[in-house]
Amino acid sequence: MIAVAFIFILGLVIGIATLTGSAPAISDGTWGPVVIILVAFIAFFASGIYIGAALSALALLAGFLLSERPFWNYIGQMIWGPSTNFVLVAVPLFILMGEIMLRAGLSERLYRGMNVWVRGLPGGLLHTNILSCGLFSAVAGSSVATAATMGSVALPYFEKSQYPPRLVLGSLAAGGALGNLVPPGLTFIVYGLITETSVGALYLAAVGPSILVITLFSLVIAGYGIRYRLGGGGSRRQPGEALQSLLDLLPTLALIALVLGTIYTGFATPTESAALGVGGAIALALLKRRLSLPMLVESMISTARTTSMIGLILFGAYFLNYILSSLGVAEALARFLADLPLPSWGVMLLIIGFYLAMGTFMEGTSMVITTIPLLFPVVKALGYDPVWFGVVVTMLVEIAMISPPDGTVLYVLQGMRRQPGPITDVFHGVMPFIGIYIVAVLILMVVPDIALWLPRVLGS
Amino acid sequence: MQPAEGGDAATSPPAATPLERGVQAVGHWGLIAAGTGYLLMTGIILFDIVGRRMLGVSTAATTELTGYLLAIGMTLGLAGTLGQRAHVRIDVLVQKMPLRTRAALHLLSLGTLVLVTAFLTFGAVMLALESWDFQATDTSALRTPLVLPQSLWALGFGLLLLTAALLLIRCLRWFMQGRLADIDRALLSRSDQDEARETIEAAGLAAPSPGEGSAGRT
Repeated sequence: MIAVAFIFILGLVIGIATLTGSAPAISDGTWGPVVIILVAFIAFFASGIYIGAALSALALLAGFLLSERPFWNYIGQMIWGPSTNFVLVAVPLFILMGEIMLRAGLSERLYRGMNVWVRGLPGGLLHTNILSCGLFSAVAGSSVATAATMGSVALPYFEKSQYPPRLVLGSLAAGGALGNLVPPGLTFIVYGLITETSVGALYLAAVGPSILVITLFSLVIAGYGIRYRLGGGGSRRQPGEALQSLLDLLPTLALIALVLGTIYTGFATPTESAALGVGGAIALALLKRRLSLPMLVESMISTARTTSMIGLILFGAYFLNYILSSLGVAEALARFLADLPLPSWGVMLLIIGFYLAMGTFMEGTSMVITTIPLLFPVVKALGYDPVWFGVVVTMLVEIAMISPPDGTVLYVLQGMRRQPGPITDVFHGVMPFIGIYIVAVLILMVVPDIALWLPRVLGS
Repeated sequence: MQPAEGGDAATSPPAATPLERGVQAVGHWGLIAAGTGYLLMTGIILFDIVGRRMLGVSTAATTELTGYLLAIGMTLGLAGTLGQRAHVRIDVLVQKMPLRTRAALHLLSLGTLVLVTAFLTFGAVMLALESWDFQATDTSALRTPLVLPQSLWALGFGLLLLTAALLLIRCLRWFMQGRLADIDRALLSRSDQDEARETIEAAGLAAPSPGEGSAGRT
């Protein structure tokens, strides 16, 4: 629905611009092929071709149609260089850290420990859902894995409670999606790699928006808590309980401190700190007596699968970018969008709308790899800060993860419910949180310093 | 077949011929090799951090070595990832189609994969051959001959090409025989339920019994 509405609005804007004669001139000859490629792009994706294969196929199409050089002899060069990039090395490392953490058996204690601190607030356990999911997905990397793990820990707490199931499921989904924004997240690495933006600066810039989103979430939950009289005024903290809960939270917090501390203090690059994170996760699993050869092999296989999944798309994207940039397509698109009779914030709103629409049917990481090479020049031409845009894109990826009807996290939670109910419960439950995310993106547009202040103060 | 798959028959295409079974096993070992590479990568970087910051020694080639391990890992895992149906596709529309169209779209998708992998393999082999011809080395202290990592990298593409081509042949045969449901099972993306179940199993938590709740796309 959102997708259809967006295409309609875009058509309207371009249509009006053309009618009033203020659309940029389309006469320099690069447009015919670009239109063919765009149509092929949509057709390939819609017919369910593997995204990585579709990108490579587009590159072949563009190459054979438009390039006169024997480009096929250079495919190796095009993709070898970027796939050995040291920044990209952080990707499998962070995934491996998450896979090990997932199996280290920390989720239950994290949830219990977090609960001690927030159960007194109106909204009670729902705050625990958001915070423990947000924290766990920061070290677990994957929102889907977080939602599944924390969901299986959290859902028993809600059995026979008066909490509305919709809110319970919605808050778990929203918390799981948070993990991409809360540093260290994978989207930032992929974005930093493609746009040659400093990943460290992106992680600093994510701090303010993370606090903003979590605060907004908490306010909304408190609002629901007051309205439905949920949580709050429950059992008071026992004397030893606070200490015990700190011990429960300690392993996760220590790992976050290790990874982020080394990045923020400049002791290590993001890639090096990812390796430290893997080391830390292995140490924690060892302490919890969960480390074993089968567990490690499973983590490795899972990491390899996710990395190769991203790899195929990256190979296709590098190949396509090489061909397209040698044809000047991104520049042409940047020129076209920058010349639209719209203020720069209007174009930015169109871009945000485009991502929201795309997010309803496309997986987050593939969305970034596929679109950023084309849209980044536009954003730069409009004068937006690359670091700021990285944060906005990451937030849009999070929205994509939880936006019906294709948010994987939602189906994972639905599959884990103990009390039966329709999937629309999850859809309804997550809607307020999607609304908050969109509001947060808009706030970030008006006040970019929420993201940019910290890297400016602490950066070089 | 693969331990990560939860072991039900519908998760992976049944491999009939010894060749197919062999290729499938190699794909699985490719994933393990890639994962071992990532673990090795961690070791090299940790060694480098400790050595450089505290002892004043360094491999002087950490950036290069880890880069090679990454590139090789990414291609060596490609075939196994296909076997576990984990390559991303946008299947919103595909899922809504009748079985015959769905099977045809699966074939189209797989056919495209075979085609582009052929080009990628060709490009990778050309690159490795060129490095061999020029005896090219990297600029690190180790002066690694580039043909070494590049040929392993090309091997990964070759493995994907072989796996995808065999799968395509099998699916085309099924298509002729009208066994459309088999194609669907072999190529449909991993469902979110698959993923949820595996994650819960991985975390060692109690999985909710299937059938509870009305899961499924509406």
